[in-house]
Amino acid sequence: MQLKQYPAPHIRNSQTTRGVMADAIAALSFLYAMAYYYHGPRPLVMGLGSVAICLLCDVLCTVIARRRYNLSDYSAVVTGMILPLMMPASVDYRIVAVAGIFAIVVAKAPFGGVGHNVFNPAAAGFSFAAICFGDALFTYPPADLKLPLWGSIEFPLTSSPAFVLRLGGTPNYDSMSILLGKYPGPMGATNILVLVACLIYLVSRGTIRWSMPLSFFATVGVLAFAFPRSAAGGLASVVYELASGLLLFGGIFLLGDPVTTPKREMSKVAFAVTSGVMVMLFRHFGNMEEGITFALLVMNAAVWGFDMAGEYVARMIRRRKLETFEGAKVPKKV
Amino acid sequence: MENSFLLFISTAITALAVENAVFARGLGMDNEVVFIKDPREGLLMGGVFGWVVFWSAWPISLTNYLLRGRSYVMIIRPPMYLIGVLAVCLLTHYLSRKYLKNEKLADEIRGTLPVATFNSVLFAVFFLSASQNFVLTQTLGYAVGSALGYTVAIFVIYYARKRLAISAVPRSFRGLPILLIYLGLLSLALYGLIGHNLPT
Amino acid sequence: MKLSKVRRYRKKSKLIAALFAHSPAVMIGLCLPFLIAASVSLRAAATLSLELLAVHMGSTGVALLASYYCPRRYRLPVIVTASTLLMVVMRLLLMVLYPAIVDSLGIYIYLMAVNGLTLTQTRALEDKAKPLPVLRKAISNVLGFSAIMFLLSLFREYWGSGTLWGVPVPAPVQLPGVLVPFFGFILVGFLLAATNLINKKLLGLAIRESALREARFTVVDEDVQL
Repeated sequence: MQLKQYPAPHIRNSQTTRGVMADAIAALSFLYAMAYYYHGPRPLVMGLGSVAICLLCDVLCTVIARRRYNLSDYSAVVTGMILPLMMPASVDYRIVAVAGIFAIVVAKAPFGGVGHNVFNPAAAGFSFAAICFGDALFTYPPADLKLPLWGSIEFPLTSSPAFVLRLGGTPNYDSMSILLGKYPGPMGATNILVLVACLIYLVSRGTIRWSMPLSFFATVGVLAFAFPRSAAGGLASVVYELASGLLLFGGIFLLGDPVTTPKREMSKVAFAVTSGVMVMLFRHFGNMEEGITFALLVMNAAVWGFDMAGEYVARMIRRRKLETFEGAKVPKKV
Repeated sequence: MENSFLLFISTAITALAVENAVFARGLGMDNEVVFIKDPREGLLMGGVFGWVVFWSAWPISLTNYLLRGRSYVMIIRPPMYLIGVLAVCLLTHYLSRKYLKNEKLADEIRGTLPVATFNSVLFAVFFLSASQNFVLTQTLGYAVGSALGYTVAIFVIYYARKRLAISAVPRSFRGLPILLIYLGLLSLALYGLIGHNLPT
Repeated sequence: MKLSKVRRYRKKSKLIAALFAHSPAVMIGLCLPFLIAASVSLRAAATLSLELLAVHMGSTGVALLASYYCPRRYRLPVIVTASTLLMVVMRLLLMVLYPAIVDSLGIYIYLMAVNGLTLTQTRALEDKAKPLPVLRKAISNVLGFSAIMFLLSLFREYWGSGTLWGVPVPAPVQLPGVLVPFFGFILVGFLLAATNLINKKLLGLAIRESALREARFTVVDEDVQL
């Protein structure tokens, strides 16, 4: 038997890595379109700049490692597009550049490049930028405000519902505003309707499995209901937790990364549930208003454990099935 | 009594998770710890370290109490800590020789004792307890929490090495460099929980 | 490649090898806590380097004496006692010279008493060790540690605080996250990777040099190319 080694993502259908990345780029483009509608051309320039920085770093790191760069590898483009969408539209371009450089040079290249990275590069880049530029990254321009391309932002910046929840308050936005993204928040994380449409698109294309985001959001919902942070409590707390910060965006685009998540279906569900618990832990006790990227980095380190546990459980199930089928005890080494 | 127990638990959890010696301060990264061969060796290292740090906490807590408010505390404290730790180390050596029937285990414990005792984590625990004016319960809780946190970190490092061994890491990064980058990213993640509130 | 060029390069690279490639701080990760968490400013690097010089050289001297007069099982407690006393003396001295820096270093000043470099190098001394080679190695260890500490501190102080030796200097962007221990892990990892690369190049040059030297004195087969 000839054994061949292939790097992740391990896709067992006709899809290619290029196809998976292209679907992600298409979904992210919808979010950039909404960001352009609300804030003008600045989000597009941020996105283009971030993609250029990430691509340049990826190419340089590949050349230094004496490997040939794969032109159909769009992973750096996806990372470059994700980073600005997690930030306010008013953020300095240098912050986006720093996050992009950290994501590729530290979180991706030393581990062997695409398919071998242990940590999600976008989550790592955003986390580093959040530690370095906390205030700039967590104050947002009002929705519907067209921002200038260059120069400083003269308009007052406000905090998001995530900050209000952290203080134990109740965000003061109606359901229509929440659905349409008419409240201050990260560029790509406020448009709930568009995000849900992106999720449906990616699931229908087979880029991500429905079980992971569903398990993740269900876990967060249950914990938000049981331990509400806002005074409103109950279902209102669930809505506010799901709609605030990067939770929805992270659950779709970061959690669904096929390289940094477990391989088996049951492991993926267990991973998603544990990630939900970890995210709520960081939200309740963490130092920052947004903890999903930090929680995901911790969970990325634990993926190996989920894979091992999943393999063990799968082996047990297979042995039981064989015993039932053959009606006899199967020796331990199957 | 209940208050003391809660104080013990809360300090232990702080030392274990929030102020983990390895991830939050980069301590205890000796060669023996970074390259343990199997989980049993890690468990032995963690167990011996936990034993030494727990029993050393008693004389050291007494030392802190006696030296509180003295002007020459900076001069007297380090040698007094050393005497306390040495006493526990020698006592452990003697007890393992006299009472442990399993000679192989006794030899392993005696072999691990120097690394577990003269360790930056152990002394950091006591200096941090002193700087934060901990009482006995808090010092014991901090010691136990640090020991558990150190053991967890040893296992995290062990499994991280196994995980990284199957990655296509570039040749220059193989071994310690990529392990440090891995630990750095994990430490970055935990920093989101701790923030800037680390005492020095 | 000409043999004379290789020889000239090897002479220059010996210094790099002694300071970086063969430094125990780099090769097997000794003194990592100081490199990771305490290398946040050039003044901190200078303070810790001075302290290590005193502690390491003093402990090495005591270890040399112990190798002649002390049974092996008692050497480690003797060495640790000596390093602790030296640390106390150095701390008092450094408090007089740089009180603010010593305060900012916190527990890392105290932890120099149990630094991995001193304990590992002194424990490994054979019985009745020869003093001069041991002391020469101790000096090169301290210089190696100092060189790496200064490199890391230069990077972190410039990008983290926007200063060099406390003097503000213009920087394109200031990254406070660079001063946090997690970045120390990452930076030391990259430094070790760069050192591995330098080692590999030096090894390649050494192999080439020995191959050329062999070729001068042996008959070379026409099909073999060097």
